[in-house]
Amino acid sequence: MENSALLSQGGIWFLVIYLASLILIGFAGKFASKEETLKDFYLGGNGFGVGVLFLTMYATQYSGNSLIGFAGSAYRNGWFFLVGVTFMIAIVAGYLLYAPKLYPISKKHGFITIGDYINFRYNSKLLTYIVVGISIFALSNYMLTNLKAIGYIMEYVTGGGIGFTEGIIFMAIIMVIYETLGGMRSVAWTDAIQGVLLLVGVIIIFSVVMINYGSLNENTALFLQNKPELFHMPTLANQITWLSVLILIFFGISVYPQAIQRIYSAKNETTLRRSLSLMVIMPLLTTLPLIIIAIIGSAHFPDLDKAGSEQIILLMLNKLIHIEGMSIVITIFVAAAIAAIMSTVDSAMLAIASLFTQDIYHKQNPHATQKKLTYIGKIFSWFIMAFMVVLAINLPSTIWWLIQIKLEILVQVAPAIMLGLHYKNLSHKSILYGLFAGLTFTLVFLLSSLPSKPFGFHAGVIGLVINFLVLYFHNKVAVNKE
Amino acid sequence: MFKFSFLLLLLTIPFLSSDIYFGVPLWVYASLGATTLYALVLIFVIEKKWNKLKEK
Repeated sequence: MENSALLSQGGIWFLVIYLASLILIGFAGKFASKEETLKDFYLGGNGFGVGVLFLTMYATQYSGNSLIGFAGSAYRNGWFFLVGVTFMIAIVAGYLLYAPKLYPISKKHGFITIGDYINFRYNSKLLTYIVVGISIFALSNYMLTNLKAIGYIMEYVTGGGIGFTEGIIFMAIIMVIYETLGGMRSVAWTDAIQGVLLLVGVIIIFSVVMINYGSLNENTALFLQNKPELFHMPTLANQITWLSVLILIFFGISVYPQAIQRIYSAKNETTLRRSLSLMVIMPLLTTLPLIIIAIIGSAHFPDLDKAGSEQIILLMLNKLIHIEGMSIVITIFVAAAIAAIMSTVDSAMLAIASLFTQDIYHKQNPHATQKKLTYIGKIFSWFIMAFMVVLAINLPSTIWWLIQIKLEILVQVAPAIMLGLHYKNLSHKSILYGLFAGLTFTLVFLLSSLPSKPFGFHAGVIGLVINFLVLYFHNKVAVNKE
Repeated sequence: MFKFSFLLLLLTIPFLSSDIYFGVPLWVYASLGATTLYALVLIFVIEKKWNKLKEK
């Protein structure tokens, strides 16, 4: 890529003002804080109304990958990536498997983390630590990939004015400042701004592309000439992959600890229901437009490699730079991408800090005061962010693939959360045996020379089936013995 | 079981062609239509059947 800044002087100032406003929101969150307790810091006190709750759920679920990675996938796979819309909707169906039952229990018993529920339901320290450990692993992955993405974006849009390393450090400092100032309040409020930016950005860019590149219908001849394969029906192998991805995301993303924390932080049941209803619509307003943009882009820029395909939207907008006002649209796109990444990183960091403080430190120090626990959580946030920044800058690409497997690992905790609410007789032993069996199968296939997708399915999906089977039969035997 | 009904979306694909209408293959209309229907069912369930889900 050429070494010229993508953002105009005005665009860079817009970005600076936007980032500065996030720090101000951090202070607003601090002043709104009512008490120094973990509940106030990690759940925003008595909870959020529909506006903030919906926007924080939306911004957290749609990461930088949704904006850049999804477009790249749609560019490479064509209409086959329509599965992206389906799986983003299916995540909400995943919430419905547990949220209606978990929410009232969480309010009654004052849960803050996923570990609180596991410990309450199964009364097993070992199971709680394993679930917390897996959650921290998955969240760390989320932070790492998004921090790396933000470094690349900053370097690219400033034409190297801000380097990859400086970009990561600069953005990490901003996030950790507003997070430690106001906790969940600051994160949710900044998420609200970031969510609006993301939605408005996608709608504006979609309109600009439609006006300047033409509709799908107008581009048909160009498609058939440059990318006819994008119209092909999915093969059987494609459909198996499709099914596997749907299962993985349905059970995996719906149990993300930061998502569960947002369910806990709803002001009341009505607030939660309205937010989830709105979340169902968002893939049609966010993922679908991105897929259509990328498919139109593939007709106009047919020969991009994988890295190039992820910049398809920027390439399309950049080609229109001669049109008046286009620099504003590019600024909006960059701000939306940065917003999507920041809202994911800050939520993951908050969730990791709460898991460490509540489920590890508090368990080891049961007499620690709430004030001290909140302080420990803040210190840990700085520590974890510094650690992730070092890893994001220095992690060699040869082991980068290791952290791509997070969802296949995380999905193994789904039975503990979902089934525990529905089956009272299910013991922690059944869950543990199932978890070990599922994890072992998944890790053996992912870490050895065996195929990572046996029979076309992700190893984590087959691991999940084994997990379910083992816990089912163990539970059946245990119940019969009694 | 409705929550898993997204898996049925796959059944629409093998029976439809990739003939293009208004720039979009026929199977995409079916898949998108089924996805939209699935979204509407989910919203109905969230708004009207929440208490049933709590009791299940």
